[in-house]
Amino acid sequence: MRNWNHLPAEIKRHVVKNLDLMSRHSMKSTSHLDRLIVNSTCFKVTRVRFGYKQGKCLVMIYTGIEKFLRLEFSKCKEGILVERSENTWDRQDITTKILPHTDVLKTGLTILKSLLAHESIIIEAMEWDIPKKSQDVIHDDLILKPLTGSKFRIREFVVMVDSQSIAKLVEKLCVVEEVKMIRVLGLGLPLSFLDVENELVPQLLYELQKDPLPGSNIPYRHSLFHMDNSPSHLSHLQLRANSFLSYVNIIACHIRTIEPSNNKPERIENDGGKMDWVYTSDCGKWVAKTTARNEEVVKREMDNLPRRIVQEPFWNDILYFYPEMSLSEMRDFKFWSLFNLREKFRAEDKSWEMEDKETSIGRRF
Amino acid sequence: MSVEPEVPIVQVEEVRENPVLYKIISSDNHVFTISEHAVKLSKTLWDLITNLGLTAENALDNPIPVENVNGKNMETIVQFCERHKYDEEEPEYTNYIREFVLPEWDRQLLSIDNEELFQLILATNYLDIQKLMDYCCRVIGDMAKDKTPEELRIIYGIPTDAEDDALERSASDSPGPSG
Repeated sequence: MRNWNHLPAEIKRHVVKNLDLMSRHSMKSTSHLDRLIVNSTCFKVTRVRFGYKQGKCLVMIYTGIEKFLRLEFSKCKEGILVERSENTWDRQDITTKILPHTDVLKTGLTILKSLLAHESIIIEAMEWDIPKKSQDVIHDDLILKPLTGSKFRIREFVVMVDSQSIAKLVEKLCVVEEVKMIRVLGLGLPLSFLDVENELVPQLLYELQKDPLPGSNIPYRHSLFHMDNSPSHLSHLQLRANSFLSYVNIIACHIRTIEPSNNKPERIENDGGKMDWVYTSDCGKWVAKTTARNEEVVKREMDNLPRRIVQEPFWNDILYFYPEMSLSEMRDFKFWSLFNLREKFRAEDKSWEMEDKETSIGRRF
Repeated sequence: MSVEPEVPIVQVEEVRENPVLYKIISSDNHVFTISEHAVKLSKTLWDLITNLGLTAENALDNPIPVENVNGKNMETIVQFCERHKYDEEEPEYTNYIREFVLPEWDRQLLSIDNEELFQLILATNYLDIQKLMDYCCRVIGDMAKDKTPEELRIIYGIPTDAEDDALERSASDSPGPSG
């Protein structure tokens, strides 16, 4: 009778390449030989998010568009509540499990390590979302100790705009020689009214080149998304389409257009070594402006960060204020929309907490 | 070389503009006819045809014996190759990340029991048919979805390390070939 054991190692590796992360993890536990097979087969993860905030911990592993494994850990009366969902935001599809009482951050990091800290796993981008207020109450060692020296293979080390100090741990968290970029992500909300239900599409993204961190030579960039490309906003940011490249440190600017979409990307050379890269993403048609020297910067898929603020109302520390604006200016620009949104998130957080308390006993994996 | 077929020849269903046809004999003496475009999907068979110098004129008079593949697997392989013989290569550029989806026709073809599937994958490996190998591996990989290690052991027939050790011990204890 023919079975798995009759397959040569090269075919087993071919099968293992087709496994998703959790199946791969299960396969590792079937036998010693299969663990060796799995560990010798490279696996690429598109994006990973790790967050810690107000006693909750998030591990999110993306393997494609809208394909993800999401684990959220929080304390409850019985121990640690683990909420697990896969490829869906529907709360009805969340399964839960109770782990024995221990530290939430430690549990999240231990699971992150067991799933992803291996030389066979390459992570294209890993986001760290530990807001400043949370960092004030946790020490670096609390992040590093559960990892017991294990490091992740990461191409792009990403920190949220309010988690920038985590970037100093890059050498301790990653195989540093393989990190090609440290990127800070921020999302600015529109200065006017925001239609949360219908307009969750970024309108503008600009990338700023910053000086590398002290003692590091890894390129360091800020990617700042905006949901407003109105003339007044562009003007405020001195980002008029034709002059943005002269703005300090900006190396590329993506502007969403309302023209009909065109699936084939197009490269248009302009005067003065500048160029446009016209492409289409799920959000529509974009014109990316840069210089020929920075051409590679614009050839990347556009993330849709604004959707997160609705999908993940708790993990919203990606939002930032325009540093140049005074309080009175903010009022002038109707920042009340941002205030209202935050209130909405707070209300949702509260309802989540209530729901967790009510259902934590009844639900199990 | 000429072999009398013991069972009816499996005919090629889809024929475009007078193709060159080849005959293949499986390990259990089933005879299959396959078109040139289809047989090219198998690197092993096409190398063999090229090395034997088979041409449009003498191909049908010189059946190719394939002793490592039985009739059942060969039938599936011939169906697959005929189905995919005119497939175009995937375009290199795509603006979106596209996930590979196994076509429904192929999923149906490969809806066979596990033992047959493992046999087919070994035959595919021997005949070096990359696309069928990709598809078989996908089907086997899909079986693992949402399974625990214990469930995987059952589905794939994987012994535990202890069982494996016991098997190895009994194999080494048993008398080997004399000589």
